[in-house]
Amino acid sequence: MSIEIHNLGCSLSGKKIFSNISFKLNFGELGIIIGPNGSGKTTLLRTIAGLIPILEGNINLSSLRDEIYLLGHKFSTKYDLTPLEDLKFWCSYFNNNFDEKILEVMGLKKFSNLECKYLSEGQKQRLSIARLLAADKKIWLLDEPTSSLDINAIEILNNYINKHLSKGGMILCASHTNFYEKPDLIYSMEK
Amino acid sequence: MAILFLLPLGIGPEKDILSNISPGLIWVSMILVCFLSLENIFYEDFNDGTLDLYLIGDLSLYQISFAKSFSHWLSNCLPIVILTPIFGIFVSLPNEIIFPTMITLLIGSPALSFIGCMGASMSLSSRWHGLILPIIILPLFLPVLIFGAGSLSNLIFNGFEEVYIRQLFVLAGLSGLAIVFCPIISSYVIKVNFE
Repeated sequence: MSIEIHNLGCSLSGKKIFSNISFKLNFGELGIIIGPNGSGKTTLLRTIAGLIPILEGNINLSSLRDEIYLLGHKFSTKYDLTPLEDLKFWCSYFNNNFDEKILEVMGLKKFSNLECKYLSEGQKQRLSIARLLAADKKIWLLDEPTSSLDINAIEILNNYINKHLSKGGMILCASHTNFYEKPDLIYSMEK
Repeated sequence: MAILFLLPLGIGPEKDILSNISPGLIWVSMILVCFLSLENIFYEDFNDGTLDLYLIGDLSLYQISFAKSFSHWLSNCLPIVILTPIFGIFVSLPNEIIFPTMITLLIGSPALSFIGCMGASMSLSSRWHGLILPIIILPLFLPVLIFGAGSLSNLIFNGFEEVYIRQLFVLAGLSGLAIVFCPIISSYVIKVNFE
């Protein structure tokens, strides 16, 4: 099982963002998309997630559309919800059981009853990673997942990435930095 | 609602004047409440990435639009319908008109929420969404206001119960059309905003 992308092209508001993108990523593998700002990394991930229509080429996802989770660089936190309420809501939305351990693992246990408006950017990103873990999907699309994280949180994320890959999951990640030691695929996008 | 409390103080305690304009006042207040709460109904979710999460889940855009519109009606319009007898005291709404007013609001207000949500989705990616929204939805609110307040005026001034009931049917039709078609249009417009 794999994701195959053939000559993919995409435009936003009539402006071509990228074209002729082709690669294949198998389950149990991690791919990193690198490229300068504005090269279309985020747009590529959003296109794979089905949020943006395909202009040309195709994405062979077979029946795995429901198994995708996109961790964007917007944190989707509601300022008047606590991390506990936020996670409970999204667990029920994705039909999963809520496990309070996720908050503990992501270092948010202490702040679980504090409204999100008081959280730092790093803590909000930790919460969005906690949401990713709670959603329990097979394909992770990660957009700059380490941008606001400290070393400790990056280590936790790396551990979960390893666990996810060993369970046969797939990860495609857009990043400026190579935070993962041994990616199976590095795809470079030009501006 | 502040209008309903302040207007009697501004106009004075002339009961007849207030009684005559009270149904229209309550309807206008309902529309203003909708204006205030519609602005951010999709905008915040669109900008903070929540809409992305909704879409990668199991729900379709149609279901999201419908749920948002319905929850808007539940949280903004229904309380006003329920509190109409209390607001009626402030604007000297005749006792025998309180129940018919509640009925018109109950039947007509879903149209306001569903049309309003459609308008909110249309102004989603505009920087001036707060200014554009009233321009889009005000003309669409007018038929609801005309039939809502008009049916009550017919009842108060002319005692035409038949006309009142006919206009209620028109209001129900407007609400029905809005409930069926607005989430469809809204979902299409939101999709275009992503592109």
